[in-house]
Amino acid sequence: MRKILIAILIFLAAIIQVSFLPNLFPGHVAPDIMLVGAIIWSVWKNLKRAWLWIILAGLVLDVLTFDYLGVNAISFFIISLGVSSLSKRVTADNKILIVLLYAGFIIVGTIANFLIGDILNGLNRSAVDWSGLLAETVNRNGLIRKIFFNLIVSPFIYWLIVKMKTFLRSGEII
Amino acid sequence: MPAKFLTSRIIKFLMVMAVLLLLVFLVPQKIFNSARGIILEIAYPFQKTFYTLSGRVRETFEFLASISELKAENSGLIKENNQFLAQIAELENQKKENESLRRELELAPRKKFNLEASLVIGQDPSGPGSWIVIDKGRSSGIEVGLPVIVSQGILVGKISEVYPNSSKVAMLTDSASFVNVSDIDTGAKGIIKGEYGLGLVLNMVEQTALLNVGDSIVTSGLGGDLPDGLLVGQLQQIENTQDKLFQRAIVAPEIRYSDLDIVFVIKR
Repeated sequence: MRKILIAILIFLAAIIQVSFLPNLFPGHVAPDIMLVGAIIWSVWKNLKRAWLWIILAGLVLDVLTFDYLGVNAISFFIISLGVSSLSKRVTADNKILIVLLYAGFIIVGTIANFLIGDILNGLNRSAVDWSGLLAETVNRNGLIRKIFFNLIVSPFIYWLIVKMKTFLRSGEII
Repeated sequence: MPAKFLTSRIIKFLMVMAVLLLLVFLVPQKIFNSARGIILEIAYPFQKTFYTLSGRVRETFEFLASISELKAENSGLIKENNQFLAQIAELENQKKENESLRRELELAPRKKFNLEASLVIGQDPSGPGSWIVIDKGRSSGIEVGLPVIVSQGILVGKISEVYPNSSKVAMLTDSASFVNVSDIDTGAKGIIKGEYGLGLVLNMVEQTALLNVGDSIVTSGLGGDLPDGLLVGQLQQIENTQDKLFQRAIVAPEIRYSDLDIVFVIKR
């Protein structure tokens, strides 16, 4: 039952990201709530049991955004793994440091998601401009806004994840 | 023990990455189209509901933000309305002249198309300009390649993927979009290409062809995939290509793609 609920939540989150949020944010650049959720979960909890759900989240997003199947899944998987590994090596007792840590992971994760998506999609079309890739990705207005919006929604996503964990009444729900 | 655990973790990671990379690169995407279609069918009512809801929320916020300007705007509108009443009779004559000119200039007459009105129910979350999702699909006679316009006969994109009850529209500003066009004033022919969802570039215009800033660009009908006379945009900036063989120009789209709520698909 818990697993069905989690799958439904992932599905709804993907739909909200594609069909609800673009209308509410300037420039119609929607925050990547699925990516932010995956990053927060990877920092906060054990990735060992969550990786399959993170990959599923990526696949669902691939379907709804008409990307090549597997692009977001790979991106989420790599980013979550990286964030989880790094977070185990970095400790912070100060709340401000913890917040900065989360913010740093979200910023790096967002840029990595853009790069990985661009590379994989470009390789599929045999059209990756390697020399201009980083400059293009960083300079694009959409990426800067996406980082900003991801940071804005991250406290809300964090709160939702805490509530979800309480609702599903388990220490390690997945 | 820790060494063994590390090895199994790496193996697991490599296996997962291998499966996912196979999915992305080696498995033809068309195999998954039926599965994608099923998921989109399930998602369609939710997408439509959420998109409509968010549109109303946005309108509410925009209305609240504009309240302070409403009084001043209201006075201005009353004045304007009085002026418009006087212009109505003149506009009736201009309408007749317009229809005659459209025939002469070979613009597409508005009423000759078989149009399917569609609501926009989703868009590229990375920002406007690459693709949108509409609420009509195969069951409404939509096919891949059909042009998509807004009510004034302005081309905004083409159908790129079709599912039972929804379709994906690749906007003109999408990097993979190519359209044969001509300058309505000079007849110069070229190809419009999308640029990263941000704008339009007119390419492959002969050096001897005449282009003027402000000219309107319409579909030329060459290639047979799009009807001629659909408005695309206006010329903004003209320059030569690096090899100096052709001219190229920046074209400003006629409308903001981020504001699309209703579009029309021109069916065969």
